Amino acid sequence: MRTLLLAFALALPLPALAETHDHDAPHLTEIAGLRALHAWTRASSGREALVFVELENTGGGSVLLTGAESGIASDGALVGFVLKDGQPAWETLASVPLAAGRALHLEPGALAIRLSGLSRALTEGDHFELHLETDHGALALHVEVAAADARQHSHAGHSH
Amino acid sequence: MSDLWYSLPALAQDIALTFALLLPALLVGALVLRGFAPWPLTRAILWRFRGASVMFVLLIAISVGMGIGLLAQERGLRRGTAQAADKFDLVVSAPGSELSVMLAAVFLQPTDMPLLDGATYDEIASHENVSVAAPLAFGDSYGDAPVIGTTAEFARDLADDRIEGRMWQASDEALAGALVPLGVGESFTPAHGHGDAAEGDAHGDAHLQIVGRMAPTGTPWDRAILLPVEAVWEVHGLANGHAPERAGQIGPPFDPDYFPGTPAVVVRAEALWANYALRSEFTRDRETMAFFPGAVLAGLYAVLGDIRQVMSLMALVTQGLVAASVLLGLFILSRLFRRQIALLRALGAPARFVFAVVWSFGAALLVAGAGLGLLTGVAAASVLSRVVTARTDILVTAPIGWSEIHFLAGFVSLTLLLSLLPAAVVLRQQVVDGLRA
Repeated sequence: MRTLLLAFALALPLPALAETHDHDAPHLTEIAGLRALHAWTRASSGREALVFVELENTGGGSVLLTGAESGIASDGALVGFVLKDGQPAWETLASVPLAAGRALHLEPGALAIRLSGLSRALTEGDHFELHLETDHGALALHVEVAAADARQHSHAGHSH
Repeated sequence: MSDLWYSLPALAQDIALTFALLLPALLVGALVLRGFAPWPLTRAILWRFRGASVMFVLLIAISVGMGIGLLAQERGLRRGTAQAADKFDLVVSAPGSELSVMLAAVFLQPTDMPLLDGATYDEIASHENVSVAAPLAFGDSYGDAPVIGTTAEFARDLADDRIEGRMWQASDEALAGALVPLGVGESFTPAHGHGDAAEGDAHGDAHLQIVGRMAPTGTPWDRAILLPVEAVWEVHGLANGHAPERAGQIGPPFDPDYFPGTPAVVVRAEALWANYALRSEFTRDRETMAFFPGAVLAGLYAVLGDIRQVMSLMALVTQGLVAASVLLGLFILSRLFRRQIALLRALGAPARFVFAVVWSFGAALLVAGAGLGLLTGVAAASVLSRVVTARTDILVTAPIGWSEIHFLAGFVSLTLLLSLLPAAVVLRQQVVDGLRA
């Protein structure tokens, strides 16, 4: 009985630890020194979505971002915002290098990951997985779906 | 089905949408007119009541034209402002309002701005991804023309290298924008400040000569006088950006120790991706702010988009009211030729034929009004464009686009459907009463 109680007492903090881990893990992921923080997109019922994320290369060498893929989209690509004839447009970028020690913010009106051919609608509060492809492998991103008119991640400014 | 739609080119989508909007009217027209040739009689009625018919057509044309003209103008203004920002890939300034800096740097609106120091400018200019880093120096004017200090490379780029005369080679030489009332060879003394507050004699000992004139750019820079940034610093009694042993140098590189400061730096990178990387790099809390004027404009357009929706709604409501007036007018007109209609029916004309005559009369007025309205819209957009261009120096052109065509097609289709109502009412009138009318 004592052993059972001891085991129970030791097990008590585990959910709390697990909760902390779950809270942080979705926001921050890393591969080969490339850190990704606060991946998010906007709620949409359309066929395309733009995903934004804060990237930082803490590694010793340059990282080449080459694209993205997600189970909920038929295609993923890096795109850059341009204004053509007064109309917002996104141009596909084959690759984007990120030098060592530099940060790159994928954000509205700048760079983004465009997911095309979405298989389902994205509703606010929803999450999905995305892999950012780099020359060092795929970096998993846990993308949070924000409001349809969101301008930034709900935790923007938190360094985690 | 949606895959097929998205796979179509934009032009095919626009044509298909126009056809889809017109389809209800075409189907109704085909059904109403099937088996009859009411047009000779319709032409006679139109001629018999030509005064009232012309009034209806004009009423519809003005309503449709103003709606189309305003919508086209809003798009033209958006395109014109975007074109004005084309040469400004990335702007770096001290932290503050992106909108204020954009208005100052792109649209030359006088604004007090903090300065970036020499070290910061040097960091930007020497960055491996930066191909152009042009400092801008505002604050002086000559008459209505703002006087802007910058580099020869940026001035050439702004004018697409189309310069009548030559580029400046000394700090007392300048380029005139296409609309500046100074000719090549003329001299001027810049005033400190702008407008009524400008101090005309603040730089009294500075005499600058125009050595070249830039080709029109369709931007507020057409009214500006450009000169070496060194000249602006010198007339203010500051170091000219170069060490004393290179005091005569014009243009970069600048010496950080002798760099008096700049409110904004126009930055360009060879690769598209590098602009985004530079933006991330030079967006620093309490140090620098980097932004794309295009993105700031897009944000403004998003607000304007709401205004456009309101304008579209207002235009739709106005045209709805006109359509209602036209229908009411058709009821009244049908009273005018009630006797002739009754006579037709007494002579044995089929009810459907009479229905077709009355409907085609209304359809002729609506289609003619819509067609004339399209021309009125083109004219209204052209006049508005000239007024806006003259007042803002931003070249605005507002050709009619597909959204206006769709708007018109929707209006025609809806009103042709509604004009079935007066035709139906005419048939319900008693023949005997009509003959006695």
